Order: sequence, then structure tokens, then C-alpha cells
Amino acid sequence: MSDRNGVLVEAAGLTKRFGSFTAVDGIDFDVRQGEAFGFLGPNGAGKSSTMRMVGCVSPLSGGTLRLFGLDAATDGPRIRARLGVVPQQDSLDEELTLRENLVVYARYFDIPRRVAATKAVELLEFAQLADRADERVEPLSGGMKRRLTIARSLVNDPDLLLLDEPTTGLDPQARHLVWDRLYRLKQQGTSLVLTTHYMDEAEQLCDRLVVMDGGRIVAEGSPRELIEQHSSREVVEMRMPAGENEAAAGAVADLAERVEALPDRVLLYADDGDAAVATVLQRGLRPDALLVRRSTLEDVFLKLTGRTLVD
Amino acid sequence: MSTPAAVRVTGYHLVAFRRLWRATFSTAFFTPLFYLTALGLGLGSLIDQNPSAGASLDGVSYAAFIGPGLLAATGMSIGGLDSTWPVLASMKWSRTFYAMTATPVRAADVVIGHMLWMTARLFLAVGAFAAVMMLFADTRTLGTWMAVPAGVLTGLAFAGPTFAWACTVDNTGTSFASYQRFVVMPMFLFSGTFFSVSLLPAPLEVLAWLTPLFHGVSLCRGIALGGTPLWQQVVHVTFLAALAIAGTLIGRRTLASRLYA
Repeated sequence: MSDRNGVLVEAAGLTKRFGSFTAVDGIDFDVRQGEAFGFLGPNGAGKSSTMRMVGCVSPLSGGTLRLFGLDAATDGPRIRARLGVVPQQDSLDEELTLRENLVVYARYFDIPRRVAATKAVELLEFAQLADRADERVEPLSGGMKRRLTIARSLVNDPDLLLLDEPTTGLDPQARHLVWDRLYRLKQQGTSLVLTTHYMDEAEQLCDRLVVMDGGRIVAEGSPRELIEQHSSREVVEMRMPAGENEAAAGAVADLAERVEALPDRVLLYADDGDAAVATVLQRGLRPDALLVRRSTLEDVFLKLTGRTLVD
Repeated sequence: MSTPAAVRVTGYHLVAFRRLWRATFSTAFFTPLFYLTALGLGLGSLIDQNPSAGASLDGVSYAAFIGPGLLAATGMSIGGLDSTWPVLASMKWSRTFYAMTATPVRAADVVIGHMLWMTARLFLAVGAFAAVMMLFADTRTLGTWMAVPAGVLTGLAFAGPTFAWACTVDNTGTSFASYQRFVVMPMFLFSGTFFSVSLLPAPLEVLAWLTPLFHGVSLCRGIALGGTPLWQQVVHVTFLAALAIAGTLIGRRTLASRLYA
């Protein structure tokens, strides 16, 4: 499986430049056997560029990258033989049937036709698309195409599955179906690397993750560790009448570890949200809307970068 | 026994073609039928009445003259066209090339796989044209069939460079219309398909000699009708093969720089 104490991917000083623009700025990370590892960050953080380097389809501008003990710079085809890839943009052949898509892809790995045909049946079952096996891909919904792509990525029994924004563009129900399939893979012991800008996805699926912004890693750890380290237990969200956000933020600053005034709301970070709310109301503030919730990775990102994950 | 990666790519094209071949069928049948009837028989009946026409027609009827030329032109048409739109689509829309290269398949394998596929495709297309030519007395010869590989080579001489160029195209394909209008069409009309290039004014004749189709047409005609010196055949084959190979080598570069950004 892995060739060095259960470490599947080792990246040191990983850099990617496009002309004068640095998309990935010297990052270090490793991915271990059996874990689901995430890159969480907004659009433009460098996640996809990182994934393409890990997938051995984009040459490094600097640093080193090893997968399965092999060097990404020189052993691309050997590494790719053991990877499963779910790209951000679909690359299914819409004119072929679901089954044909899987068999053709299996052939790229030189998997014998008969084995590929059996695999295709299994994988279509896994993706819950078996009843459409011999229909063309073109009429499928976005969620179904994504499930088919995930099925396709498993055709070579990969040691590591790479997913670049697996649920972007899907409706909530499709997202949950995809998460369910990925969760099953995790339970079966498949190692995953995924990128996302959805904090719920990162929290649900990832055992460990790094937070990326502007090409750099700004934090690393399990979802829970990150929240404990960088945010309070609870958050109070207040929506004030137009124009009163800043003033309200000032008025309650002493109640919480931290207060953030966003364009549309004020966030109060406190360990006991209900107590903070009581004091806010005592002081005579009358927000239009008020809610108490637990901290999320979005709050972690906001703390570390001053911006939200989704612009 | 492991299958070379390029051949796996060709395997994909074969599967995809299973869905498409019916659409190509009527064109493959009617195009040669129309050209040979309208020009070979129709126009030919006028031309063949002219006693001095024989000299520039290699001593055969007009239909027998243009037949092999059309074989080469079919090669050009299929080889060129199938290396434009499908290539752009495989990068921009279906992203098939990205799917392929996420596996052990490399860009070089994609290019060679394409050329192998084009070879098969061209044998089918040029062969179909030759089959239709059997319907006409003047072209119902063994020579017609012997010229088929030459037609395939002509097609590959277009497929290679066109593929390499198509990999650099970044618009929605508007360049391809210009390619048809300013490259393919002029060659089709002036490179010897319908009349000997010796009838062109000297500077244009020299220009014609530089076109791949001229060499394709001359090669096909030389094989079909016989009587061409061997050294000329060798020049034609070398010219066409060099273009096919150069196109493939350059295509490896242009595709790689597109896919592996």
C-alpha cells in the first residue's frame, strides 16, 4: 500500500506558479493511510492547483511531492495507476452509456475487458445507478453524473482517492447522497483527499484538514481541534437594522472573546451563547434577528483570514 | 500481455465510433457518388470530347483521372476534419483528454492513439470511396484499390499537423472555419485533384508542389494509373510521412502544454 509507515502523500515546500502569479506558495502536508484529508478554503486559495499536482498532471514549480514513496516528478504514470480522481469539472463521455464510460476508463488502466465489465456492474450498484447502466450519460442530472464519476474513479481499486470539490454545483439532496457514498468508502478503509469550500462538507467527511488561503496553509488539524483552538464554543449571530452593525458591535464587545462585524450581521464569540444573548437584550439592543449556534470551520476561517469562505 | 497505452486510447475511439458510424454512412456513400457522376461522367463527357485533353489527363478519361485525386482528397477531408472539432471538444467540452490523462495514459499516448485511430478511420473512409468507385466503369480497376493506402497516408499527413494545431486553439472553433476556407478548399481545387497542376502559371504551380494534397493526389494517381517513376513516388511518400510524423511529434508538445498546465 504505502511505502513509508502508512504515509501515502508527502509534500514539502510545494509551489505552483503561473507566470508571475503564485497559486500555491510553498506548502507542507502529508496524508496518511485510511484517513480522509481535506483542503478547506475559498475559491482561488490554490486547492485545485494543489490537487492537480498531487494527481501528477501538473508539474511542480518548486518543492517536493512523493506519493506511495514514488517521486511525482518522475513516476507520474506509476502513481496515477494507483490513484482515483474525481475532477472538479466532469469529464464523462456523454454520448456513451454509463457502462461504456466505466469500461473505457478501466481500459486506460489496462484492466482486462472481462474484469472491467464485472467491475462496472459492481460500481454502478455502488453508485445506485444500476438501472441506467445502458442509457446514455447525457440526460443524467448533475448529482447522478457526479456519482458516476465517483464510481468511475474506483475502477482501478485505487490506494488513494482524490476529489476536487465533489459537491459543488449539486442540490442539497444530491450532496447528501454523495456524502453518503463517500462515507461508505471511508468505512471500507479507502483513503481520501478532498478539497472543498463548504465547511459542512469538511466537518462531516474529514478526519484531518488544512485551511488554505492565498496559496498558503493557515491552520491544520482535525475539525474539532481547529474549532477548539481558533474559536469559542458558541456563536451569537445578530442582524441589526441597516447601518447599526458597527455600533452594535462596539456596544457588546466586552461580552465575548471576540466580536466580528460582517456586512450583514454581527458575530459574538462566547462560550455561553444564551448568557451573552440575555446581556445583549438587557443592554437595550433590539436586533432584527438573533440566533445562537455552535462554532463551525467557517468561524475558524474568519478568525484566521478575516474573510468568509464563500464570498 | 500488456496493451500499450496508445492502443488503449484507440480502443476508446473505436467504442465511441460505434455510436457515430451510422451518421457518417450516407455521406460516405453519396459524396463519392455525386462527385464521380457530376464531374466524372457529366463534366467528363465534355472534356473527353476534346482531343488535346488527353495529354494533361495522363492519357485516360476524365473520370479515371479525377478518381484517384478524389481518393486523396477524401483522405485530406477526413484526416483534417476529424482532427479539428473532436480534438477541441475533448479538451473544452467533454474533457475526454483530461479523463484519459488522469490515468497512466500520457499526452504522448493520446496523440499516438489518435493517429492509430485515424489510420483505421481513413482505411474505412477511403476504402468506402474506392468501393463506390467500383460502380463506374472507368475506375473499376485494381489500381483504385492499390491507391487506398496512399489515400490513407495523405489523410495522416493532414491529421498529424492539424491535431497539433487544434491543441492550441482556444476559441470556440471559429479558427476551424478559416482552416476549411483558406487551407482545405484551395488545396482541394488547385492541388491536382481536378486538373494537372502543370496547367497553373509557374509560380502557382510551385506553390502547389508544396502542398500535402499535391503529393497525395500524385501518389494515388501514380499508383492507380501506373507509369510514374519510382523516385517520384518515393518523394511523395517521404513528404507525406514526414508531415504525419512531424505533426505527431509537435502534437505531443502542444497537447502536453495544454493538459499539464
